[in-house]
Amino acid sequence: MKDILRVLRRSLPQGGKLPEEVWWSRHRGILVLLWLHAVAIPVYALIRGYPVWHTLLESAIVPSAAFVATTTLVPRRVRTAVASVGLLSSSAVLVHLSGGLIEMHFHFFVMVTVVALYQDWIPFLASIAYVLIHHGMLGALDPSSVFNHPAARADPWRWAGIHAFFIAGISAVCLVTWRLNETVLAQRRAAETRLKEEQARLALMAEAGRVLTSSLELEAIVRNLTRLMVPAVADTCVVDLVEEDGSIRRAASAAAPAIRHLFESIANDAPDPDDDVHPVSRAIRTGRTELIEAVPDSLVAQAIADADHREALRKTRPSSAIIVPLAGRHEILGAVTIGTVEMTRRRFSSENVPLVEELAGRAAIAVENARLYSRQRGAAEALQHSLLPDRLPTVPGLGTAARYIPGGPGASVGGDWYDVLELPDGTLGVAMGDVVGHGVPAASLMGQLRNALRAYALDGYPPVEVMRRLNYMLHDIGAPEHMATLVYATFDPDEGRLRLTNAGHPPPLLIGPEGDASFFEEGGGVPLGAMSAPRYEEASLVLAPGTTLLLYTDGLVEDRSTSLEEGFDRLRSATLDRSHDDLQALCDHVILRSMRDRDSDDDVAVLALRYLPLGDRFSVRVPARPAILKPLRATLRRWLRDAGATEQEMYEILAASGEACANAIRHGSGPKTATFEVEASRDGDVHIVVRDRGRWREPRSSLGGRGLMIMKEFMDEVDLATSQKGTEVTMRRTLSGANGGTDR
Amino acid sequence: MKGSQVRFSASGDVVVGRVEGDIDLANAGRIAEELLTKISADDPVGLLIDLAAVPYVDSAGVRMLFEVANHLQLGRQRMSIVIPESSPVYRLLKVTHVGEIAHLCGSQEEGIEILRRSGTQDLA
Repeated sequence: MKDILRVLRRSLPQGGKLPEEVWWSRHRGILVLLWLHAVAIPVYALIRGYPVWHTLLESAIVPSAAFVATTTLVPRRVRTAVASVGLLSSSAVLVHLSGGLIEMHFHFFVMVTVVALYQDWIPFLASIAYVLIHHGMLGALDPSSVFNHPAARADPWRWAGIHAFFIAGISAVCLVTWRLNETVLAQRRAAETRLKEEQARLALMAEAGRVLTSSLELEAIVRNLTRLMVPAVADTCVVDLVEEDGSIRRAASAAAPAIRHLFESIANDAPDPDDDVHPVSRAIRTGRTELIEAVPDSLVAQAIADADHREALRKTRPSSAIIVPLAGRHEILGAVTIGTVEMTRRRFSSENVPLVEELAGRAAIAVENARLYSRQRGAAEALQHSLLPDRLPTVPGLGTAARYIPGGPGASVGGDWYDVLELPDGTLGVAMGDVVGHGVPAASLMGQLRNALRAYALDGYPPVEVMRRLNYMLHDIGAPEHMATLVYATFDPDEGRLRLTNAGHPPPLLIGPEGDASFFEEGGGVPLGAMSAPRYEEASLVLAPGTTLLLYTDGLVEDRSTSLEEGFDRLRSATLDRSHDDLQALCDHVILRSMRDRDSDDDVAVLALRYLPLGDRFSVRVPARPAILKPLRATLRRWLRDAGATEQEMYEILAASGEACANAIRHGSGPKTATFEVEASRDGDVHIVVRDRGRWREPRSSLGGRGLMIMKEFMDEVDLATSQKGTEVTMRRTLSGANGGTDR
Repeated sequence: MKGSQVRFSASGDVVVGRVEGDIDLANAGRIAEELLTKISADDPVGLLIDLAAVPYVDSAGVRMLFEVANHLQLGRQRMSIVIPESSPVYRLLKVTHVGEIAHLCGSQEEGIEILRRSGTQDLA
């Protein structure tokens, strides 16, 4: 019996509500049918010869029903029921008007199948009941109006039963059809839903693959992950990452626009890693996904310490959440938490977990790669930066400037480096190199080369010898794959002599005092490390005052889309007529030009050295260090030579100036940043002014006063002015050549 | 191309220190140390400082010369300085009275001769 019931139930229609648009299209058809009856029945009645009042009275029920079923004031279910009753009433009226014509009973059968179109139990059962009651009751009261044959008239209830049986038969057929229809529809709908879900999943995964791998920057990856989740998968999303010290950092958060303002307040509420209650801490600790199908208020209360933030989260009315750990190869990197809120009426179940886990898996790979990359890049960058001079030495009579621009985020750190050295003989050493390779190995090799170069250069070896030794170090001692290009030059500010050797590096650019620019290609040789004992040659050149030497790395001229020649041309044209620019501005200008024009994100280093013209008057501010005395003398000597001083005069003025400067240095021995100023001018006589911010050191003994004595001995006039601001030494000397010869 | 340095040689019991390069505030201390180290190691009769290849000396250099001379005096040792009169430094040494603590002579031979002679005079 039970089995029969179950089979019966399974084969009966579920009576699922028709979609609005389907119901409406069927109802519309039925309404048309109903209104046709409302017109046709009175016509039939008149033809049959009924009086007009009888016709109107008897057929009034049909248009009434049609009217109610048409109006939109009553609910859909009522309209359905009224339309069904209206149709069956049409049958009843027709049977009655025809005097129980048996063929008119067929009309009932047709109407019952029409009502079945609603696929609604209520009108359907009502229809069957209507037929039974109509036939039985009316048949008993007035059999001739229902049946037209004697047997039925004699026993109306029996015949009503017979009619009802056939009605039930056709109903059964309708039911089965209805049920089958339902099944097919449900299957198709399910298949469509699955297909849509699968398509959405595939699209999301494709998007995830694209978005998560589009960057190696950690912050961008987690931000992209939240954008991937909201709103496609969830209403809220936060990403928490485990930091190196074990703490948890909230790396990104996102929420649907309607609740974003509330959600922002908890954007930084990262959980305590040791919190037992917080599902994020738990997921990170256990490495297992946490599904919260209904978020209890107690969880909100426990998870968020700050009362205001807790209130804000409550206001978003969280409904469900999934927390998936971001599992790296060796450790849990963090967790991604997605949530739903009441407002959107969606809610997570275990069905959502696989998709979220898959997304989290991809995100974890991206996060791990980004961490590795940033660790390596960070190390390489830090190493490289520590190896570049943080400021260039100030050399009187010479201008220096440098600029280093690291490669773009996608590029690895290169081995570009430059150095400017004050050599013990008063000359200046300048170097620009590029280690072949990238990352930490390149940066570390660059460090070795830089230190070796410093050592050899400070030992006073000329460029060719420095190169030879560096090559020996790199090629014969270092690994065979180690290679580097390097320009090393010394510059003597006294004579203006440049001595240069180039080991496979792009040629330096010389910008003349008149603004003409040309590449200096002499003194070239193979890159360091390329071969054993190569021949390096020294190119020597006396620079005219006002000349600028520009050293750079290939990043400035190399380009993926154009030839190296074009790169050189571009650099040359960028420097034309720039001989009077501020040097720092010149460096910036060439880098900006090159970045604008080229298709490369390689790192770039530029170093500019200018042999400053001194003119009739020049002044320099230099650091208060003894090492500055020598290059300062070289510059003063150059200026005095231009002024026409004899060797002896030069010596004496230098000696007097040197004493004033040495004194300024002794004053400035306190802070490392102390400087002093030297000003030289000539107007027939030579004037030297040395200013510092200290006080003139009074001679304590005969030894201490020697400096002042030298100054007074060698100069025609010496004036010492000490104030709160510092000391100013003013000296004057008449040159023999300048005014007809004062014999000193 | 190197920074200023001292090259030592010996002629009998006289140590010769030839300075090449400028002597100024930046390196006077180091040069003094090199000279004094050599003296205490070799304990010579006298020290001849050759400044013929020194284009520039400042007051710190002069002070250094005085210090070295003082040190030598304590050990009853003598000091001479080679400085040609044509050198611009000559006038500075004159002006600063370096000649009062050390013989100024034109060549190494002359200087060594002077040191030897004064040494024997002292002994006699």
